[in-house]
Amino acid sequence: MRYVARRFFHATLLLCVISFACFALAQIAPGDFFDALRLNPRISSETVDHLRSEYGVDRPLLVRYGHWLHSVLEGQMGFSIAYGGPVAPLLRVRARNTLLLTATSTLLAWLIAVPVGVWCAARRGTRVDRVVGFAATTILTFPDLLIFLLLLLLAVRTGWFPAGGMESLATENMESWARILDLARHLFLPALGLSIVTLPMLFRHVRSTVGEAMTAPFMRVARGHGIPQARLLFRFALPVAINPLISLFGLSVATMLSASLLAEVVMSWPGLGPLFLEAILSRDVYIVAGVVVLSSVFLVAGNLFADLLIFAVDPRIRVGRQDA
Amino acid sequence: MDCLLQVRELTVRYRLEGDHDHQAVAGINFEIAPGEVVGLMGESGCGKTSVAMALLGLLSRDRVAISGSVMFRGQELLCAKERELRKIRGAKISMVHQEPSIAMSPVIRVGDQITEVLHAHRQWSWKHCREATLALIARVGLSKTDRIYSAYPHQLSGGQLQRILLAQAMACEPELVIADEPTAALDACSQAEFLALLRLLKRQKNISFLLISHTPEIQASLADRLLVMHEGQIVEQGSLQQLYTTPSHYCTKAMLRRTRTTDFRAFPESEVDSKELSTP
Amino acid sequence: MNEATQTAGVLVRAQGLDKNYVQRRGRPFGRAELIVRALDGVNIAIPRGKTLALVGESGAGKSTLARCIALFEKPDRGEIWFDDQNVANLRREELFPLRRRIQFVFQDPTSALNPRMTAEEIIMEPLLIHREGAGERRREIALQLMEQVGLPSASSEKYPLEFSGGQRQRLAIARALALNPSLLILDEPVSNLDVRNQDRILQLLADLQHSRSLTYLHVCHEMRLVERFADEVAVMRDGKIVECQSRAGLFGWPKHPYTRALLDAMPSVESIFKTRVAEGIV
Repeated sequence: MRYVARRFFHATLLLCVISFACFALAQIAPGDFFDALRLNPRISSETVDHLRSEYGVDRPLLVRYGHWLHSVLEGQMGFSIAYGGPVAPLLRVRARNTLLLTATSTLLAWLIAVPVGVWCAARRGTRVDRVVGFAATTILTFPDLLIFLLLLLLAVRTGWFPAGGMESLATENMESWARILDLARHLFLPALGLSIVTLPMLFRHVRSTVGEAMTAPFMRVARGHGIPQARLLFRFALPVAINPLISLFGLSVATMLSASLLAEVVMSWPGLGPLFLEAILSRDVYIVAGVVVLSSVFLVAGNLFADLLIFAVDPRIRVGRQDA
Repeated sequence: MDCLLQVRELTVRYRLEGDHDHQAVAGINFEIAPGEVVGLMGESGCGKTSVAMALLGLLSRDRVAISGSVMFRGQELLCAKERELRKIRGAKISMVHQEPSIAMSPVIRVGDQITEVLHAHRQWSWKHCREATLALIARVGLSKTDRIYSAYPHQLSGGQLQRILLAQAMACEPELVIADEPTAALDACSQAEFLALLRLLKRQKNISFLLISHTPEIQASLADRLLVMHEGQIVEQGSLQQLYTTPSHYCTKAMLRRTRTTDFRAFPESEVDSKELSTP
Repeated sequence: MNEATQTAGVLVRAQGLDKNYVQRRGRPFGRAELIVRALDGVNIAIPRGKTLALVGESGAGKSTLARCIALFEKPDRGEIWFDDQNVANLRREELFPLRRRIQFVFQDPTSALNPRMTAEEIIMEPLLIHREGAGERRREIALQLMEQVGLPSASSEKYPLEFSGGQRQRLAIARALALNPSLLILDEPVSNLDVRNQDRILQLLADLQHSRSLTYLHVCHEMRLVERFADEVAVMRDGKIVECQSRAGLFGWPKHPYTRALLDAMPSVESIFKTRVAEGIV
């Protein structure tokens, strides 16, 4: 319990530091939300100044940060000037969509990478292994943007999948299963793109950790006891390889988040990505801070989950030496 | 003599990079009868472990060239298919490995690892196999069988692990057990206990052992017949009595009959020491 | 401590050494911690120019004691004097010149030697670190040392993998001698070797001790070997030294029951054979 409490404390501290740094950097960056208005000659500078003081943009950094923290604790997370309302409900909806996308693509990526990785590890050095490895490396060298654009092209040319968005226009009138199907159709391409982007590294890691587990001495000993090949692979090799893979999972959450930004923007998926971009460009600082903090929460939670999972799964860490 | 294992002209050659090949075993011949302990004795690097690996077919064929004949109860092992070999490994011929800490999977309970072997060869339910495992753990002299069953390898001492390895090897009541340096990782007291255990099991179950060890004391306490190996060849073989009383090859003499009371410091002052030593 | 140490002079003396290791149970929700007493009030004296053998079962604390004397680790309590200098609590900069005089030979030569360095580079490494000699002179020293340990200097450009186990240990010994130490600490140096190599290496160590007036602290778990190379023997159990005597005294008239148990567990080939003949088994 002490361990978990300690991790939570560290996480909270981390989030405070990150959010403050975010604020400070936004402050240092020249300009604020109302600069665009200033360009319009018909709006007097007094009006702009008045707007600025009304929205509290001209107050010192620490005061604004303090107010924001207060707002976070209230559950509002600040006020969006552009959307004219509290930030929290905005983030809630978008975060849900991003989570849906990243969760689906993570699942998809691992579902493909693990069996293929195990299969190749069992056939290390053969032609099949080399071909698959070559394919993985090729995909790795493709820029993410290119992959998403190609998928977009596919959607537009064939019309099998919608080219953007999350729901079709008439969803309110559909029954629930039709709505789910519609969602799936919209989700498919962005999720596919995202998983293709993260697949190669995942596959290579699975292949190397399982390959290493298979050359361990205890594998040969188990073979010497006549244990069949399939059981050797899944009951003996894989559990040992799992440990580094779980750590990898924690790390992959980070890459997934940054890749999802690109995916959402290009494929018009209404997640945190487009919101974030918009807010940055228009200096809507509370949204920016909110998204950064939320992403950090995902990241920290992902890593904590991975660490706890390792504890649960690896007896070497979980159980110390007893006097058996 | 009804022969359990018959090895003829066994040769093991490792293919290394370039044109270098390393011939680990060069055409050896020997036999093992039922209920007999045959000791394979020799320096490290003389090819002993390669022999053990070759008998069980554990060497990968694309990197190792094996020739000769290994007949187990009339069945040729060297050209047997993998499926056939799997039935024999662990059930008819099994092996106790040298280093207990790396011979087991670190993330599976030791009891389960023994049960795996039973489950692979017998048509029993997992539960039945588990019960048999508990009995096995008791038979190798470990008390608190439940606790040992659910322990992980890193929780047990070297001595306990070595007994677990033995239990694993004995699980399916094999006819031949290959013990590769079974006491190398143990300290003096555990060693003595382990050898006593092997002796007991041999008497109870009439199992044949191929005992691989470079330590003459271990061979002397267990082996009925000895094979002395040197640089891939068997340079002398015979019963323990023969080799002890009338050794002919210098390797045999060096190992069995060395005077173990010579002091290493052979300079004038230490003559006093060696005199002190000779008092029994 | 007996007469031998007092007359010959003592190179290393340790008093009241304590060292504890904390082993966490590793549960995120648990609190159980196990405190392992690796060293418990250890007093030891290594006579100059002689070999003190440290024996005992695995887990008794032998390696911990060796590492403390080698100044790899600081004991939690206690004093260590090296040549009448109090060394237990020195800072790193003060320890550095001392390290040339105390060298260590490990149990497994394969993991103790850098597989990516050639033999001569391995021997020259300590010379490099302590800025001894220069360039070509270092190489000369390395080759000389190789000859002294029985390795052909023609193989100076080979990598450790190309040597046999016994040869690797010779290489490790050569490296330990590079800086002309006074004290050599050997942690089970022959345990990983087969019987013939054991004899060879032990003979080499004896010869080197004589020619270079070295002092040895030799950790060994095999009593049969200890009988043949030790001057004094200290028996360790559970972090304590239960007995410390000259070799003749220990093997002839062991005082502690644990020592007696250790001696009983090491019969010779001869006695084993005779027992089996008597039992009618052979």
